Amino acid sequence: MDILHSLALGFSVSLQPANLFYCFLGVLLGTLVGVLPGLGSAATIALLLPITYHMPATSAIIMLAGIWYGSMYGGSTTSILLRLPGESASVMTCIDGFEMAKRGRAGAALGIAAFGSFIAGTIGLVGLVFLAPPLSEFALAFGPPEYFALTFVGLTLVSFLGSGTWAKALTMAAVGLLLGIVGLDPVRSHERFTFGVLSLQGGIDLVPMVMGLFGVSQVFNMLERRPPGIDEIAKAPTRLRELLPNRDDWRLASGAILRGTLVGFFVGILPGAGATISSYVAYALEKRRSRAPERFGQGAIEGVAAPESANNAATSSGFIPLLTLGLPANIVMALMLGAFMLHGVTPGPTLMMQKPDMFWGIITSMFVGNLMLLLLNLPLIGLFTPVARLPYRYLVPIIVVACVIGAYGVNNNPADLFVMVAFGLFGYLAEKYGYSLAPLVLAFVLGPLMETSLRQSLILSQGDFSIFVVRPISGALLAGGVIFVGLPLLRRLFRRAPAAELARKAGP
Amino acid sequence: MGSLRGNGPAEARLTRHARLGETLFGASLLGVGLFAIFKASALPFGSLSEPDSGLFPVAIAVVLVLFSALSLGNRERPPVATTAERAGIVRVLVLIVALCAYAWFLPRAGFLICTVVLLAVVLRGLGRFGWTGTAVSAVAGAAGCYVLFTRLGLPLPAGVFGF
Repeated sequence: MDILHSLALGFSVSLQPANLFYCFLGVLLGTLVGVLPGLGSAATIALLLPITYHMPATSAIIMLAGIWYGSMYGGSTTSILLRLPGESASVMTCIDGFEMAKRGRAGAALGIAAFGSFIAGTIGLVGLVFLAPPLSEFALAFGPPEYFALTFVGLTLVSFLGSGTWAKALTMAAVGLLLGIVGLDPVRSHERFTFGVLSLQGGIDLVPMVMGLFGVSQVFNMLERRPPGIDEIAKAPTRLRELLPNRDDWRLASGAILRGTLVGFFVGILPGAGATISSYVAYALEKRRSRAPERFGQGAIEGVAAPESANNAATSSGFIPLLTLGLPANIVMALMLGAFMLHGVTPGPTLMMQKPDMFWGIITSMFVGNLMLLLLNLPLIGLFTPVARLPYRYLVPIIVVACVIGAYGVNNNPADLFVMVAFGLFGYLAEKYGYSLAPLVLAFVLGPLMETSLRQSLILSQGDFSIFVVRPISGALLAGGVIFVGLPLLRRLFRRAPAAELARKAGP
Repeated sequence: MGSLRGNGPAEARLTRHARLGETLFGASLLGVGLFAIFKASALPFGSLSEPDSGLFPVAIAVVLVLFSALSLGNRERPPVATTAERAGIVRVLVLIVALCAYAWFLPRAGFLICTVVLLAVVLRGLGRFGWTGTAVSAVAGAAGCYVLFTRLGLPLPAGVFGF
């Protein structure tokens, strides 16, 4: 009953004409961005952050969220038709999706991707609706040690689950934490790493930083290399009927959709894992439990249904840590946190009680947005496909102008443009040499909370580090983190030993 | 030797360049870490039971030094072979200079002039658009953005041609 009341309140917010409009704008932009290979949802959200400053807070988040889950829908279209994943979460969809398209079954692949995404996104939201309130209440009991444990385990997991080697990922996390330290000490107001520069006293601003890391660096990347040629293009289905999967398709795919949803939902909650990893796991699971695994890679419809469902369920559940604990689980959520902060709202356990209209408005808008996406995607797929082939030379000027306006617009400070260029160069070099940016941004956002909770915990315990282990919740979190990171490492160590042995024997 | 691995001499050179770049990048992160330890050690450290401003920065800087050193040492796989040609690097440098100039001139010359010039550099210099196309798109783009964003409530510096 309580939940029904809350949902009614939420829909009364999300169905307001202005919010419907922003939701539509978000999912439309998200679809376009998902289709475009050069521009990810993180970059787009970063670019739009400054504009949302002048919108009501709830509408802003509704629109930005729409970009995030909308991009998951858009990403599948080009993966299937062009074998071009517009988003990293759609890479797995290319494998069987493009094979299906080559065999003239593009319509069924696109249809099952859209329906699977819709079903998974909606089920994921139902999970969010039921899980968020108890989690928020649970989180109210968290003290500094629990928050330190959460941020610590979160950053460690991000580094181990992300792309690239873990040493590089942890290096980037440390860089992010250091960048978060710049400015006045939150407790005693000592200047730290400001080098006497006045504008650094307030710390480095998130917006120019992410504009540089994701916008400008992407442009550098595009300018440096020639765009990859698109050799084969499957024909986009033009009639709606071609997009409806037949009974056999549904029989094969329905189990995959449900399993993908479950995988996506739980993996999406984990820090750093998110949509991309959940799509890998879902695909691997489907292939392993299939009675005919050789069909995978040859156009198996489960190979499209599972990862597409998983990435959408993960986008829904990714909101859980942010809305209930105030902790972002991935880059996009870190930017969402930035968007909340721009409007003076701190997401966390108290959000649901203090701003129920906003909390439930955002969640219910995602039900609306998912429905919009289903209706938008099916008939308009043919229209979106050419966007993927938009040459970089049209894209570069748009991104450049969006970046300069965005970075300048947050504070009306031209110095932010230099910050943006510096981070653009840094991000470009980092990606080039295999240092991923996700841990850096998350660490930057989480750093201040991590430091204050560490210092408060140590004061509480009079310098005794055992406080993090003996308190049940923080102890359990740390133990979970150790197991999660330790097990694969151990397994790798033990597996490598015999392999090295063999290699030595086989050698000359 | 090279052909055994399927690498032509050009490719081998690219890999060598990428390796060098990776080493330099990792080494500079290590340098940042060392510098941060030096700077942070000047901050009041407090004690474990009364931590002050210096504790966290020192700890993080040590972590950075540790892991950047590990990343430098740990190079099982060659970095992603980049097909960076000289022309591509020149294009990147041109944009860096253009953006810095933009930041410098924005408060002095205003949004319209700066953005027209920036767009002209990007469209003509980097995108190889024709002169007419460049001129029309640059002026229209800059003016359009100016109108749109000032209407949205974002005050852009008007400069000489503000309206």
